[in-house]
Amino acid sequence: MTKEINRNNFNEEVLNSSKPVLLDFWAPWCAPCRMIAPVVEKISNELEGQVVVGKVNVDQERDLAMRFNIMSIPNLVIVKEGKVVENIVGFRPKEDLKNLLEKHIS
Amino acid sequence: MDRKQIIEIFPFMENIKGEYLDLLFKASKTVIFEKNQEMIKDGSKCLAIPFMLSGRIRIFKMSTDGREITLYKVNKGQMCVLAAICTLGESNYDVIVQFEERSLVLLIPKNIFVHLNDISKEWRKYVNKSTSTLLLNTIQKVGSVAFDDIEVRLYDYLKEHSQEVNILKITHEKIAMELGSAREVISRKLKQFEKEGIIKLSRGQIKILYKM
Repeated sequence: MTKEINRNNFNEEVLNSSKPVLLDFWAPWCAPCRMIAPVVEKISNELEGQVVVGKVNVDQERDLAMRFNIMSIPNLVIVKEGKVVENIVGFRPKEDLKNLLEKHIS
Repeated sequence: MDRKQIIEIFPFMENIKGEYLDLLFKASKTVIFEKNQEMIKDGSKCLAIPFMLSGRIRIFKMSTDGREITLYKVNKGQMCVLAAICTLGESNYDVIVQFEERSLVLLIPKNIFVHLNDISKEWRKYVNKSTSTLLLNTIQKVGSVAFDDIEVRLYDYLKEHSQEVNILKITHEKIAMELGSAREVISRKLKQFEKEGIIKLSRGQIKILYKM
């Protein structure tokens, strides 16, 4: 299951997470974001317990988007031990994303 | 990089009201992007507009068989017009925008960019000028791609890139990507230029033998 990430739970859910975190930066008005959403949801179910999957609504969390230097959406970011290890712009097939994530699961 | 240094790179900002500049610099940040980092892809929606403080962005299209053509580049002292019009027009474009070099960028959030465009005449003037310059260059480029022989386009490419250096460190593959051609075609034409004594070819570089 994906988690809604915001300024209040960011430190706890992302920075201090012991597992890799996949962050999906999105907005309700962004059509390509709606394409990638089911892919992210599936990954969240398939890798449950191994990774944290979070969604960041950029309209509500502008500061988080700027913090991650997000220039366009959809943009997926993988964070491990508080650091960005992958930055993916645009759509990617599920298997590509899973492979990228699995690289960071220790 | 401080505010004064940024204004030296974007002199039009000198004419922007102080209170608007305060707003701009409070909301923006300078960020380093690594070479090959993608910025826009597959019709993604823009959230911030990069103003180039160093480095370069390449905007290109890719065909279904993987061939590329460079549409234009954004250099130091320029803003990414595509991101700006994508933001102002709330539309998206099926191109890839990628950092061609490690770049330092002033990243301006979409809402601040749009707000400045609403309230500042000088800001609008800069945005309009940048957009019209890009439109004219793109029209010229489309004309060249449609009507000029690849030999002419290749000669123009070498001429443009040898203004400051006489040895270009570039592969035939990369030139083909820039011009939207095949590597084999570029290699054949370069060999022809070499026979004509215009250039000297060696691995990964092209020496220009006379001022083009």
